[in-house]
Amino acid sequence: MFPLPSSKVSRRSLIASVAAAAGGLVIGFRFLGSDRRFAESANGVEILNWITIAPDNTITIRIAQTEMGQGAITAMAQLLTEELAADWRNIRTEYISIAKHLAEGRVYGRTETSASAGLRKSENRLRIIGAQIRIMLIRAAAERLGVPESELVAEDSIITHRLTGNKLTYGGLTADVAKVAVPDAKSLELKQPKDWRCIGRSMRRLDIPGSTDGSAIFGFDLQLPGMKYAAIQICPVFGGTLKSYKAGKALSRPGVHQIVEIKGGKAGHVAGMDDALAVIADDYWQALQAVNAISIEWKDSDWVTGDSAAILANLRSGLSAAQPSRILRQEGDVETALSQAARTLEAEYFVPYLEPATMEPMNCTALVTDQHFELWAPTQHPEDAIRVAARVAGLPVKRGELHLVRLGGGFGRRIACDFVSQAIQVAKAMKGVPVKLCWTREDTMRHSFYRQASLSRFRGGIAADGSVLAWEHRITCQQRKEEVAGPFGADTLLYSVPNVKIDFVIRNSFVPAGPMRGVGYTINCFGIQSFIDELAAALSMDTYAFQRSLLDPLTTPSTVPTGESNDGLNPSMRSSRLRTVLDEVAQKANWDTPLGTNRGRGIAAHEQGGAYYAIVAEVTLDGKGWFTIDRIVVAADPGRLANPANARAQIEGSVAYGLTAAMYGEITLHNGGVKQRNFSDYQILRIDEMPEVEIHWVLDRSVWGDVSQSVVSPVQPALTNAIFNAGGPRIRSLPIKNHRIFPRDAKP
Amino acid sequence: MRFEFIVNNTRRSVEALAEEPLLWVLRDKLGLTGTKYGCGVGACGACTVHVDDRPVFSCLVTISAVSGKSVTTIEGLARYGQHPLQRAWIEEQVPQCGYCQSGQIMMAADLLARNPNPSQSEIVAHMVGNICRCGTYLAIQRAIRRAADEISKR
Repeated sequence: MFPLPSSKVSRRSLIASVAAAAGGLVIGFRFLGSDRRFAESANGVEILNWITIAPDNTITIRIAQTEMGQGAITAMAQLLTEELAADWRNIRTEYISIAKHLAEGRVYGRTETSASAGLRKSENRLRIIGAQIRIMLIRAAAERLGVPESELVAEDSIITHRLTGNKLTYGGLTADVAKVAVPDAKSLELKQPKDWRCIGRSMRRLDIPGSTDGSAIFGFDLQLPGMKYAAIQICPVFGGTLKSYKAGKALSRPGVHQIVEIKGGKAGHVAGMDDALAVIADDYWQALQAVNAISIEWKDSDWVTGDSAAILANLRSGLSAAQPSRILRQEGDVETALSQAARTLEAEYFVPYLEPATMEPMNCTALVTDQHFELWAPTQHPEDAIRVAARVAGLPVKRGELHLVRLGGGFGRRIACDFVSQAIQVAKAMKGVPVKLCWTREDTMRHSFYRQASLSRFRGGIAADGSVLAWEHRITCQQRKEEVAGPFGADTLLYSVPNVKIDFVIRNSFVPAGPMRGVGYTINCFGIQSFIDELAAALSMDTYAFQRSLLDPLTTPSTVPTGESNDGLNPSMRSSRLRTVLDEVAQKANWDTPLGTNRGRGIAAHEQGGAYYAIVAEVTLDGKGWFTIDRIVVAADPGRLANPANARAQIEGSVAYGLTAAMYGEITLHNGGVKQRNFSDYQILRIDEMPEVEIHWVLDRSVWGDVSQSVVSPVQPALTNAIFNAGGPRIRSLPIKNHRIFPRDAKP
Repeated sequence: MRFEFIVNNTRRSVEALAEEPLLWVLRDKLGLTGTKYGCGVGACGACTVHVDDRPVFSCLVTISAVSGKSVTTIEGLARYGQHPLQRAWIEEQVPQCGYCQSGQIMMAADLLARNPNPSQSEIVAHMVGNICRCGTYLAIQRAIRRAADEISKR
């Protein structure tokens, strides 16, 4: 339950000071009126901060999560609309004001958009707000009509008095609502899910039409009156600094105004950001030509000799480290069990660095004056963005506003605020003028925050009777400071193995690391689900039957860590859930039906974000070194779906994202910098390689489990297992493109 | 230098360097931001427009090369955004982040203009130059099929 903030500071004085500080300019800055609950705004009357109701009954819902294609805007609106009993056809949305959010004690709750947690963390708040407003409208109507509340029904933005048929629209009651007390959140009875008319329906996404006719404005598209454009050159070696530059003819090119030095490191207030040089011009192409014409001298960092070979050697040294950085899980005695096992198996697995590769390159627009700052940022972390902007601008946060704009993909990349710092630094050089800083694809690929590379060693011990006695998994990986427990998913193994040791050796590198769709699970799931397959193959067992035999709720260790499991299920119940989707996918994929020569199926199961997934991939080897993926079958147990059509889209999208990573994704390092520059050398799965995706739903829980990123991980080992089971090689390092996929028994 | 050309059936005149890519002329000089920058090297298709009824990657075509020619962008594809593909894109809820979709629709429009009833493999072969990072490929195919069916019923 979230108590509504009580304002100890007079709200009138707070708003007055913010408006004064903003100097009256601020495009889009709303003057919010004197009462924090009710205020006139351009779209009508604001109620409880979250909605405005216009006289024509249009309701505008404020959205506190960033849309990046995952359907957040629509889903959040559905949550509030349900309890509000509003007519969906008259619902509009707009983003919240970040300045108001912070000025009023974070009144909108969670604004970071990540971890597929939007629904889970916002659901309660939005449903309560909707219910409170609905009740207030009913009470206002009761007062106006002079009838008891119990005789009124609210539906589709209209309140009807049952006995007389009198109707009042929400839009007609806004003045009366101001006089009604806000009902106590604890006293509310929210609708039962079985009575939902909006949540759980495949409502069309409110923001889709704009991307079919060119009218949608992404950050990269923003055009403000008097705006200038900036292009950038960022230090090519991680950790290097700007030494000097020769402008040459750059400044005399048409439309070019200014060169701006950008500070990285501590001075830039964003860790992992390097020095850069920017040029401000009248349009982007002019700025780009100019900045590329400047001869820049960089001072290399010590990392200039760093490359992928050195990184791999460093990771490998971790495999033999005497002491781990952290023991993630330990039960029984793995060493003894391995020494006593009838058979042992050992394998190393490697995943490379990956760049999230949003379709829209990085960008940010900023305006700085001596008194205030304003930014338009496609960001997944608005609070970090406005704070970084304030620090870099040298102004208090309350002197600024952040306008959220459409993201052309997030995938975790836009949580970092490097482009915000750069944009403010550029804007400071031309005060009073809005400047849009854009990156090229090359900038975006080479100056990202990368999903870490990692090396894993697995050891398994098998008893004479074929049971698995021991499971050992050592992970070496760079640690990101946000990851408290180390890479994800390695310790939450639900298999019934009596002796387990899972540990983690930190081996840091100079490459800036950051979250990517699927997060740390994408590091470990590949190795784990592949090694299970290897154990099955060693026992000549069917891989589905083998994994199933390990998922035994009766013998699941009670010590399995909770991880991100959020349903209150104990480990036995969780392994039961995982086994259910495993069974479901095997059945739906006709697992037992043989395929022809050079064809095979691979299976993988995965728990993430309160959801359970199992995947079967079917492939055909083409005999010429490659393969086609015939289909992907998914069994999904994500709990509740706010919008089923959107959930399907997210899973199809996650399949594409995971297949790209498995087949092609590879960032390599050379001379202290990233080697890849564009989609020509960082290959992306194309439409001709996209397999059909069948999704089978197991929907009988009430949690809001992950649908946006959990499939990214298991689809990868499902594919490589399929390649092996089709007679191809065992792939232990990604991407698959680095291997030649020939049948194992092919004549040389 | 001044260049004249037709954009979405309207005669336009711009001051630009001859080598400036059409993409940036459309976006920054004419304010037509529906055509997107994704890679600048013709690898992603986000910048797809029609020049004299042929699809081109506008990041690779200079303004001087389209002098006197007719350019169609996503904004000019159909009146009120009601090309059968645009309707199908909404019916099938194709876009996720939406950034690549202008290019996808323009490339698909060219397909249907040439081949109103394409097979599945023809659809895929035609669209292979357009990348989508959100993975809307299956929905794109469904929408093209739907639009083709609608057109064939006329």
